[in-house]
Amino acid sequence: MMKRDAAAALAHADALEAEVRRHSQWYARFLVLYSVAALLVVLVIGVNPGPVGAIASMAVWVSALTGLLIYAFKQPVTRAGFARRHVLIIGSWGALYLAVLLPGSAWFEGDLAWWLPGAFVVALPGLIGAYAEVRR
Amino acid sequence: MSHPRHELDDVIHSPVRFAIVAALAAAEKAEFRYIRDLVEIETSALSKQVSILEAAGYVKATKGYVGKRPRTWLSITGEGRAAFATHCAALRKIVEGV
Repeated sequence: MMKRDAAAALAHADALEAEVRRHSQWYARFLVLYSVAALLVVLVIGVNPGPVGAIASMAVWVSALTGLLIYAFKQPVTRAGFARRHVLIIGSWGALYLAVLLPGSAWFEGDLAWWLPGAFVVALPGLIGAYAEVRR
Repeated sequence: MSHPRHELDDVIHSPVRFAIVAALAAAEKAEFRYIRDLVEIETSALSKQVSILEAAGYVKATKGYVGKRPRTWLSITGEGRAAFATHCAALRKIVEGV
């Protein structure tokens, strides 16, 4: 194999990697939408204490997740390391969600000073993940 | 000292298989049709090349459904990823004239 053939093969591999990266950017959009939904769910619970808030937040969450899952299943490619990153982001979201929801329900019902910052904290893992995805 | 071309992987050396493996190395998994279009190859030719890569243990094909539509997903195995890395390292040595 000649030098120029080897260089061409490596350049082709780089170009294919760039294409896969470009077509995998859907995950950043997914994470932004997920974060917005996560933020709304916490706010809906926070400003509507009791069963009304719980039912409304569940409706927001189920609708958002259904749409996001349909969107994700339609995508033709995911980047290397996707599963590991996704588990990390969703795991972080779950931990923060419980850290905001449980004390909030016990001691800060209807208190926006707790729920508003809490909603942004819960949205953070997805937003950070989306930023990292775009930067990669 | 042997020439780095001896370190090239015989299975990956084919330009079409190299392209398939290069694309899959960047992906967790990819739809068969996506790889077909990316590599610009006919469906039957991709099937044949994927069979060769599967036989070498470099690629895994998984069948499933999205809704009612059947889909085939391709992914690179750990062995395939290692072989591709070795192959690319040999290519770089050739380029650098090592």
